[in-house]
Amino acid sequence: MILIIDNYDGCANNLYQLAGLTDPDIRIARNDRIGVDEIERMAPSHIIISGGSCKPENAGVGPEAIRRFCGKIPVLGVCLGYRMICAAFGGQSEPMETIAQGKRQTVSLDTASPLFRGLPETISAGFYHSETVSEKNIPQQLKPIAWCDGVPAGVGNDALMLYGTEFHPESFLSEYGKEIMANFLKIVPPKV
Amino acid sequence: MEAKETRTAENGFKYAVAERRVPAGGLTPLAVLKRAMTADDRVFVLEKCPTDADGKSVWNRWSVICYAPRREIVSEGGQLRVRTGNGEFVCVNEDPVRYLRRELAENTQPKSADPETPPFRGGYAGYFSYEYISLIEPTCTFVAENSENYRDFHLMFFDKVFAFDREKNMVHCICNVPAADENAAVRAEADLNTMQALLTGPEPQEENFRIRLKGETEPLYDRDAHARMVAAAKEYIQRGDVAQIVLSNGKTVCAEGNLVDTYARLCATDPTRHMCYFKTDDVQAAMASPEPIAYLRNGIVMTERLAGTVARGKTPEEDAAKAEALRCDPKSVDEHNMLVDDSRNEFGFVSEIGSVEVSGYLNIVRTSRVMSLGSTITGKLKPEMTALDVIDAIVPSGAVSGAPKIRACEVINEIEGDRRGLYGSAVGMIGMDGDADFFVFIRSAFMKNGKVIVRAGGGITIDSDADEEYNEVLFKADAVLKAVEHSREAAE
Repeated sequence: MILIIDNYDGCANNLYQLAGLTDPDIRIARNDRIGVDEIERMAPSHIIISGGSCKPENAGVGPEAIRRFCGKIPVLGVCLGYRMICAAFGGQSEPMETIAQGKRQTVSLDTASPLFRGLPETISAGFYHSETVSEKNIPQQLKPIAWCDGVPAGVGNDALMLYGTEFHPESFLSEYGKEIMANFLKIVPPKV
Repeated sequence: MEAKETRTAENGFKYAVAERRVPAGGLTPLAVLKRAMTADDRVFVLEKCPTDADGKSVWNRWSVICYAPRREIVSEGGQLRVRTGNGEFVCVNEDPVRYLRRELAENTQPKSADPETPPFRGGYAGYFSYEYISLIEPTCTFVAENSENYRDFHLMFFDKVFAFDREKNMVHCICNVPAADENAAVRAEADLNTMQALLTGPEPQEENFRIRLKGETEPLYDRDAHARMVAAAKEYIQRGDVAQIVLSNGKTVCAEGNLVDTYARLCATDPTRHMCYFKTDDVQAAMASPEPIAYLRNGIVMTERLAGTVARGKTPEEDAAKAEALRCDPKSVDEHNMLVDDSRNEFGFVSEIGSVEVSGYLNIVRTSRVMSLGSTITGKLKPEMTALDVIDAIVPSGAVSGAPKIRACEVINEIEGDRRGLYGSAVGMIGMDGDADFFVFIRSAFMKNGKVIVRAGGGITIDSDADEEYNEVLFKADAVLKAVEHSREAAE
């Protein structure tokens, strides 16, 4: 079962639709309506953290879930979820000079990352954000795997099975959203 | 008058539909409405006048006129109240939304395979108020008072409908009778006779449909108050609570009488996609709304989002150039993209996986005066989902609230300091066949507590100018108010 943590944003159901193409067994939970112990009992195969307009530290169960489950359950953070993953390792986000709401932009991808395996080097993708994490603020535990205008737009840590994208793969503005989600859902913990 | 009659009854449906087709003669949909109101002034009318590719308004074939609700279901401050016929409202101790869900599931009618069938043959019509979201989202809290005593929702169950066929100039008298009733045929016959008699009976008194305004129109919030609201909204945007919110203002005037003539005036001067008049025991409304919430037919849910509005060109060349410029304007396109993803998201959970599509993107939608960018979003409803689930997923529309929606609604409520009730509500009908058609209460007037209120909104961004916002919002309200005032002048 896939768990989507909804940060009271307008993209959780779009993530549900995208993930559902690979695995329709999905539960959506609001970030203040579920705790880490309950998630542990649920034992989801994957966790997806939605966008949202709050600060990472105010996003309910998200930060704790990232700390508790990284390395055990694959986690994908989108937009706020991405910045939460950065923040979990001390990577602060900053307000942008010009916000991007509904903007289609070109993103270059590190296709060696399992998240972007089989994708072209550049794709179009939809952005909705007013904060960003600059290169110098990307924590050393995380590797930038996507860039937009020279600014990181995605991070990954393969050992921790932790991935984040500033862009929204579930937006209709994004190419290869289905493939990115399918790649993420292919990631499984190594057998002990 | 020659009348053709059909009746359908199928197993498993609570109601059987009986229909009699009567030539309209010199009657118009408006005349049918006025005649229906002589029998019972609780009515609901929906007519549609969309524009064709050239921006010319064309009336849809069917006008639907419902009257004399058999039952009414309302929620007031979360308290369910139900009324049968002309009786008193009775409190029922049950969750209002759960009750409504059951009510909708129990009262069914067969779908008609006849292509000549009107879009609505009986069912529920009314509104889900702007603040209805607080019944759906337990975390959504409204701190402001409800000084006009707006209801959370009000649905009227209509078993009798006049469907006016503009194409063939016929009136379909439609009634629904319980299929299990052994006297169903007799009851249907009696209902249809009553309906037909209304069409041929004495003409109603015209002065009953006019509005009498008493005193001057006043803004709901004056220029200073509006400026304070804009400043407060910007602070919330700056803080990151919300990305965008729609603040409203409007005008109000004391009045008595009726908004039917105002509705007629709107139909004559500014016909648009959703023309609606309705009247309940506490509210009446005259609407000309361009903004759909959702249209549900045979399990396919559809909406169209509009944004990036500009005035039309004076010549065909200028018009085409403006359309092209609109399509290429990054700000308008970005704003529009946000609405498209929003609607996809609203359809996301109620629709089958993989069925949500943007079936038309960045079309130019023209009306007589303006053009906008329009995109169509569709989805295939999951089998267990109903029209009410669609409403619950969408209301209130992003066009009148903001993003993210729950927080935007709370912020708006706090800043505006009172409930909106009708303004921004979802108005429409849910047929007993499961189909539904809902639209946003904007560009419309309503009357409650002896006042006519016309409200309009504007999206606030970090760059918004308070003075400009005030002027623009009241300008929008004035357009509708003109129709109200005109129907007054005609009366004097």
